[in-house]
Amino acid sequence: MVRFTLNGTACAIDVEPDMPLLWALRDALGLTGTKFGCGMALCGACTVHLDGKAVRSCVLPVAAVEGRAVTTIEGLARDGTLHPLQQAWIDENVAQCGYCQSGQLMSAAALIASSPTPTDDQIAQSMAGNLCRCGTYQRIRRAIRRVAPAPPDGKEEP
Amino acid sequence: MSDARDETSAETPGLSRRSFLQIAAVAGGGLAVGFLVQGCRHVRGTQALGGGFSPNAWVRITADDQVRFFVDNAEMGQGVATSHVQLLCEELEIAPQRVLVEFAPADLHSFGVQLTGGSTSTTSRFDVVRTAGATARELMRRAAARRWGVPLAEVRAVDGALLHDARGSLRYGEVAEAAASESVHLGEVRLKEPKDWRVIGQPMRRIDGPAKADGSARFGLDVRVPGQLTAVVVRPPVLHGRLVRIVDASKARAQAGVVDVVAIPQGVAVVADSYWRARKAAALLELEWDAGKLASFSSSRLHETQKVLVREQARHVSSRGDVDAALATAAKRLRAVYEVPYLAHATMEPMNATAHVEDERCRVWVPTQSPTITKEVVARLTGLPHDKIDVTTTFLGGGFGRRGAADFVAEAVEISKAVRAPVQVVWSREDDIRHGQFRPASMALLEGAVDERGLPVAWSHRLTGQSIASAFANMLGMVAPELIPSSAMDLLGGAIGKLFVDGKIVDPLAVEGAGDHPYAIASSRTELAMMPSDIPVFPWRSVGHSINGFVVESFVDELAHLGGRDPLELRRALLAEHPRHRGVLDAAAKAIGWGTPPPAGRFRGIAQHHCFGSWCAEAVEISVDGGLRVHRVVCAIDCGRAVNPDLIAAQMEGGVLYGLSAALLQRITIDKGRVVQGNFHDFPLVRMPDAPQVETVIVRSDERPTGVGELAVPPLAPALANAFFAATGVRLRRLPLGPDVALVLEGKTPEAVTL
Repeated sequence: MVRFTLNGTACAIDVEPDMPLLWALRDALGLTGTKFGCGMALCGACTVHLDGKAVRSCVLPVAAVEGRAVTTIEGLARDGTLHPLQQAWIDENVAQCGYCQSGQLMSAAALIASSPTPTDDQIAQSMAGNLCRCGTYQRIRRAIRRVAPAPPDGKEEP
Repeated sequence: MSDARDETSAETPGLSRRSFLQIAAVAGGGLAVGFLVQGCRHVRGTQALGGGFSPNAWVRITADDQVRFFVDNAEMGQGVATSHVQLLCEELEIAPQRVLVEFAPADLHSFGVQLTGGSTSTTSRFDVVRTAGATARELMRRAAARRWGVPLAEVRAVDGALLHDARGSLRYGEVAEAAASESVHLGEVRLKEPKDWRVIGQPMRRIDGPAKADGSARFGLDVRVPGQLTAVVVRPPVLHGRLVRIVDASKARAQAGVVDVVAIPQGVAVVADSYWRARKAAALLELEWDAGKLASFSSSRLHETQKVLVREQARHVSSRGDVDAALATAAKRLRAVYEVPYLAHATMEPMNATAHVEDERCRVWVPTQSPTITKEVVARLTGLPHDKIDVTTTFLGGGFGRRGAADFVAEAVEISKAVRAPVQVVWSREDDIRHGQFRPASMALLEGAVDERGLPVAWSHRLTGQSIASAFANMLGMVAPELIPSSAMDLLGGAIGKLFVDGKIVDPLAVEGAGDHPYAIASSRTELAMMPSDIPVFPWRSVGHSINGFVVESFVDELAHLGGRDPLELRRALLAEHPRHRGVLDAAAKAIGWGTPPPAGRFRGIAQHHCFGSWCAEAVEISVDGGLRVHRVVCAIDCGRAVNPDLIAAQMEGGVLYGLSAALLQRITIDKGRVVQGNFHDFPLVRMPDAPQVETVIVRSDERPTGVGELAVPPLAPALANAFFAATGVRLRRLPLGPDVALVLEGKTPEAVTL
């Protein structure tokens, strides 16, 4: 039995400890918002927060989250209010097929939680692990900027 | 577009063959509208069960004022659910936010062949969906006029209600049931003049935006039905290999959660209660394979075969003038060999399908671009009639052509049949890359010549490639009307497919964008040598244009430099008779600042391509200090009237990135019949730090809407190669460019392909 906090609620599941968190979420807990893309931490579609940090759930054994706090896309909105990034995603028409966007949002939310005023380079590097086949990167950048302004002394790229 | 009435009769290709609007009863009450294939042009209302109105297959309005819209194209990111709602609401006179959008079931009778591809969704549904909305509106206006006892002309449809100056208003739901008894002749269904549009042409937000921002959008892999099992399939390691026998499945069967191990035509399926358990157990199977006929096939051999084909086997496709004489006598001439690889689609959502086969029925839930073909595949595998089969389309986590095939559906059906339970088959990324339906590899020999003024006078394009059309011909039986025996259509399809493969009929998908290049060159010819091959191929975003756009637009650039002319000016000179080609070229050139010096250290390239009814030009700005970097891409498109300009911009941004990943990074290679690549480390996509800023210019047009989704792919690779030449003086003719770019920037010379 693995016990952890999932989207603010205590949770216990009885699966083999080496099952990746991704499959525990999708198959054992029925939370399908977190996506399977590559199984090798190469694409970021499976990104969730572990104690607030972005991690790739497809390679994280569920045993590793024992006693810790996991947040998925389903837990990003709080008390019925969208996370500001989710609203920005809607406003910027970011999603195309949308399959990668749960992971993109979780990476972006972790970024602005730790760096509320990221530089352009910080955004690009923090989001580099999240692939999008539809090519929505520039809208993702715009949506992040709606929520997280550049640092006052930050140097914009030419 | 002067007379809207004419538009519904003469100018409506989508309606001419299915002009009958079927007004059907709706379970639960309402109105639904359906276009049948009969020629009758009269539309009758039909009482809906429980009160309500269903004027056609696209629309259902219930007594409780719910308006449902059934989108019959696949939503794979291109935004069709949003743009089609705009088309509907413009005529239905209701706010798009009030409409509940659902994906239409596979239904050949109501919708015809449902195949989302070829950038046709807007073009093919532009009149149909507007007319569906207008018909519903007209029937409800008539119902309101009758109830009030007022002349029809005095009843207006406004924002989901019928209004009369003296009588007040009725909500759509209040007249829906009565509207089902009304009738209207199609000739009386007037579509709005474009000047009166309020929804079409607006950058409306995507209706699927919220569901795709909170994780609730249901893709194929998110389907969950009671009792559902998960299957993974171990496929032959060599393409077209065959299972000889299961040597030992006992270890796999003994794993926790494993329900069964079954051999199916595609391989061996491990069925379990979750993906992880199925996947782990699959690794424990001991299987014996017959490698089959591709066991000695490798990309290096392909390369040599292509050289021979291009040199010796090419046959005439089209020509004008005397190319050989022009080449022999011209001031300067040039010969160049181009080469492009096989490519995988690599949709972010791996292939999957969920099927539940029962004795008397079969249900399938699948992210598919081709629901009607899917239904036929299911019918063949189960022996069930079409009316016992339900195909539900989910959101597609990318399509790009790959989801036009139904191989993954067949697997789900086979496995569900074997285990008598609902089964979701889930492909790994490795399955997805290695068992793809690839964009064919191709090689081309280009010869050209310019006169003393530097103007091209001769053009010769000999290409070889694999037949994509044959893949379609072989599916002919899948889309044929049920009246024709599918066995007959299979025979016919197979025969046609062979004619393409043998080159007896020119494969239009192999030469598209090559044989019909627009440039005014007095002597020009295209020749084709088909390459018979068993590597599976299929349409890949922009299909043959993805190959020929690169070749033609690179070689035009080569001839410009050979003749000492500016690449933009030469193209403009050769396109004097093609205003829409010039329109996008000029728009892209202006936006990037062509003719003015680029910023220090930056270099520019440009290319254009006409396909899927539209025109697209791209201009790129790169630097090469410390590696190739693409800074800006300007993409100009002329696609007729823009239904939703922001969706078009999104498709340009996406097409550029799709094209850029292919141009720089991607290739599928084969080693002894096995696909070498397997995941995103060796089949990479461009990541955010390397993604350029894409600026879209939509050229204003009053023409009918034409294709968008595939348009931005073909010009990207040549524009990039042309910019790289501008930066380094080195012409790269082999995709992906990345490895040769690295060599050039290290001061080395890439090996040229010679025949």
